Amino acid sequence: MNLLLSHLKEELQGELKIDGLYKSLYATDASVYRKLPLAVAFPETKDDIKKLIAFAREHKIGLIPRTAGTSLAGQCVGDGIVVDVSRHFTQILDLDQERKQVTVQPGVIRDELNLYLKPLGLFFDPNTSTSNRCMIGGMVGNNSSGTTSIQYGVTRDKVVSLKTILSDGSEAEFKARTESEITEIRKSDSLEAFIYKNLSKELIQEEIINEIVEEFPKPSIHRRNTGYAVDELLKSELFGGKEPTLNLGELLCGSEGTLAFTTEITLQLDDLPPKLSAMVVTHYHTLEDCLLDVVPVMQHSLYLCEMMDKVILDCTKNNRSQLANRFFVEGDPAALLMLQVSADDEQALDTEVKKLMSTIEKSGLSYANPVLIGENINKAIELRKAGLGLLGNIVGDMKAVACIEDTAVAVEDLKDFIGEFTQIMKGYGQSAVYYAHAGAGELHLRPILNLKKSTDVKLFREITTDVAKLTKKYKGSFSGEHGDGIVRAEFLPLMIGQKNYDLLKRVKSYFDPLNIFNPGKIVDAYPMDESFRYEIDRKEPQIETLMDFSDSEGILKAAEKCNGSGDCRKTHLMNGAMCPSYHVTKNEKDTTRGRANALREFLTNPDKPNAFDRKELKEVFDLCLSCKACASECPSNVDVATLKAEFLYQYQESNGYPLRGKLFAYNTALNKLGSKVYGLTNAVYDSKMLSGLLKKASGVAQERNLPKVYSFNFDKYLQESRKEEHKPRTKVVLYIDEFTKYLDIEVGKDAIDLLLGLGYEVDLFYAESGRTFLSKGFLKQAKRLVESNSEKLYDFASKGWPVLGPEPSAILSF
Amino acid sequence: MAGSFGYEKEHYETSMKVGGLKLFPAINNTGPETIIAANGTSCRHQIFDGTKRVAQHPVSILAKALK
Ligand SMILES: Cc1cc2nc3c(=O)[nH]c(=O)nc-3n(C[C@H](O)[C@H](O)[C@H](O)COP(=O)(O)OP(=O)(O)OC[C@H]3O[C@@H](n4cnc5c(N)ncnc54)[C@H](O)[C@@H]3O)c2cc1C
Ligand code: SF4
Repeated sequence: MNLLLSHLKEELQGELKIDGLYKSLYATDASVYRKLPLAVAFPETKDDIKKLIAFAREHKIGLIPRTAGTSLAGQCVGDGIVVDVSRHFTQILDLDQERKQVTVQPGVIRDELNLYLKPLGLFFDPNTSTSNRCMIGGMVGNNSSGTTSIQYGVTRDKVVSLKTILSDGSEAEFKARTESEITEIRKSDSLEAFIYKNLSKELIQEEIINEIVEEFPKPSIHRRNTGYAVDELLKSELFGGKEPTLNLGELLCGSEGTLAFTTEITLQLDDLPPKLSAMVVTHYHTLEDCLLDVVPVMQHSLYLCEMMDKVILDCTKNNRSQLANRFFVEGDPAALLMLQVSADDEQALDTEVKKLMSTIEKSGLSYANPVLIGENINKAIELRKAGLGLLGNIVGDMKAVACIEDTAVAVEDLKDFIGEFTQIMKGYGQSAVYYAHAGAGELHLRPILNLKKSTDVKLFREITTDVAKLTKKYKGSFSGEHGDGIVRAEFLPLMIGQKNYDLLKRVKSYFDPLNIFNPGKIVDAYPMDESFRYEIDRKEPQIETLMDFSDSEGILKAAEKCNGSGDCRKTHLMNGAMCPSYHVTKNEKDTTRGRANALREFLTNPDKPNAFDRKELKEVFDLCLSCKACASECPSNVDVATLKAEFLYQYQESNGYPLRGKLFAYNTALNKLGSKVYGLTNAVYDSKMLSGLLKKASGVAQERNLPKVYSFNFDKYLQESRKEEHKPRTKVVLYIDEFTKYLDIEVGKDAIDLLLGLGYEVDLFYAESGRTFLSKGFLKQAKRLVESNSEKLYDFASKGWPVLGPEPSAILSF
Repeated sequence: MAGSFGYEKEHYETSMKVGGLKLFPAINNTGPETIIAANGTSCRHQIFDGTKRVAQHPVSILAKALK
């Protein structure tokens, strides 16, 4: 196969990766599953995609379309060729302001599209929690939605047209077609014609229509992602509905890349929401009261109807940054609803609030109803968002796993459904947490399980099966927005009945008779309790480290904290700094997720006694700047800078320490030497030729100037600057680190001036921090320094003297 | 710059590109009267290399203000 793949590689304009590193980077998404793909392709043109399709047909392998890979149900996991269009299919192609429509390639990021549309007063609504990195191709694939779907609808409601490449390599555009247009298409002998002919034959049969109406989720549930949306097609006049056209694009929405490969998407846009908003937060003594109240409040035109329960609210109590956002919570509610109304002027808004309040008072279920406006609304939304993250941060192998997290029922069924659900979870000894999109009848519920253990894998199946049956009882949708993927697809026969399931299989065969598009998803699915990220009941690999990873229970589990949510794939246009190297390269290997995935993969499956001794790992860590942005921005607190330091150390222990690494690591010693003869050193640095030679020999970029070194007596400076007339107030210790001592002496002097000027008594503390050793993986040396420094620091601390220092990278080394 | 990273010849370009995305344009959009503050030594070096503007440690700015 590798030979065939290398031939294919030569034919493609874009890259095709068949090495172990890329396979491991693309073996997972944000789900619990893992399969090593055969290869990863980065097509540059439509022609590339056609060649991949031809190859897949010929050799009977699958193609897994992929954009950001943030799917929660295993949609992007498979053993064929992963086709990543996030790198080259990233253009906004056309904007039709009159019709309020935009045409994009699948790799356009949702929030970046809206950044572009904002000045025009338009936006694309579906707002997933992943909106700052997820891409339109994936949103169409999963029929994504978000908090505001109750007002604006889901992705399917916005798709005007999809240009696609079909499984035989031919092109087809799916959009609203009239009967006569379809008749015209059907005349040809294309695959497109074949699809229309067969679907029409199926969906005009009364028996089939009745079966769909009877067995599919209630149409009043607007978030329905259960199987292919054949129920949506029944809206067309052709099949007994009211709409004059038929749009097969609606069927492709939520088809998870199993029917066709999308290359262009035209979206219907909305006007930006009204400028003014108010949020009523209704508080309840019981969960039941809260769920009962959803029905009457949803009669209003709400922009948000989100719920939080006591468990989640309590999580925010112990979090410093969220404490301030709890300002609106009154008493100790069992649950609360956040209800947002919006309008263009004060008066209209006032009317909306009054109407809503009168409904709330009439039902009389809530005990407090504060009204928030302006910035306070954002704070409340922040609190709701943060709850989820806080809940997810569990140390060790128990995780809140996605399987039943996406059920949606009609809002009038919510209370009874949740009542029975709670009983089921109690039976499994699981305490449930209730939060999220109450207004859409969708709560994100997750059991806490350890999928490394066969006993918990058994529970994973049992809980999922029981909740599937319960959802069926209420004619709900087992997936509201996250999709069927691997985890839920198996349950489709149960959810929609065997006859409908057989229909879906036929639909698949009309589009993709050879089963090349994303096999194992939706129909003929992979089993939901196999191909996990971790081998079940494995013996935990024991990995010795020099640094202390005990707060994550070891370095392997520190890497396993990454759940694939892909927050590190946001670009520089979004808020935050993570991950700068990815911002530049847009290569998955340079994300925090990529680094964690590769480390997990190679530490789990070592090929040498020193598991860190892998070229692949060197490659993924190479561009990490050790900026530590991920340590605070990654919702799972993956800290790559620390992982990288340990890796470098372990790798160099086996492969030797390179000269340049030594030069940088021992930079302080060199500077110390240089500073003794600083006139000479700086003359060398200043001389173009000499410094050029030096840089060349040591692998330093010619463009950079070498920093000048100095020799300065800070003790003397302090002595002379002390002013007798001031009676010192408090004593502080000023830490003169290696950078301040030899390179940035002015900063050191300014710090002394400032502290004396403010009336402090100053003591100086000189020490090398160990930063240069840390960043080059010279961990033993770093450790020695840090240990001896900590003793002195402890001494200062026990006397109650604050230690201050100007250079952050030095301070952070402690 | 991120310490030694931006000095290394194979990382120089990446390092300048990272700076070029947000930091350098933000600084270039300010007039000469704007004081640029950065507390890391390699940050100040990087700002100088990318914009030819001298960034000061906040401590230096405060010390001057006190004088
Ligand atoms: C923390 C977290 C929160 C989330 N919150 C939400 C939420 O609020 N609402 C929500 O709806 N979802 C949510 N999701 C799920 C996920 O983020 C969304 O489904 C998202 O839209 C997927 O986008 P993506 O670019 O990552 O797509 P991917 O995961 O890369 O792909 C999604 C599907 O589309 C297919 N696909 C991609 N490109 C193409 C193409 N060109 N042609 C054909 N098929 C294609 C893929 O094969 C796959 O089946 C969440 C996920 C996480 C991890
Ligand atoms: S420390 Fe490394 S992985 Fe983390 S954000 Fe910075 S560059 Fe990215």
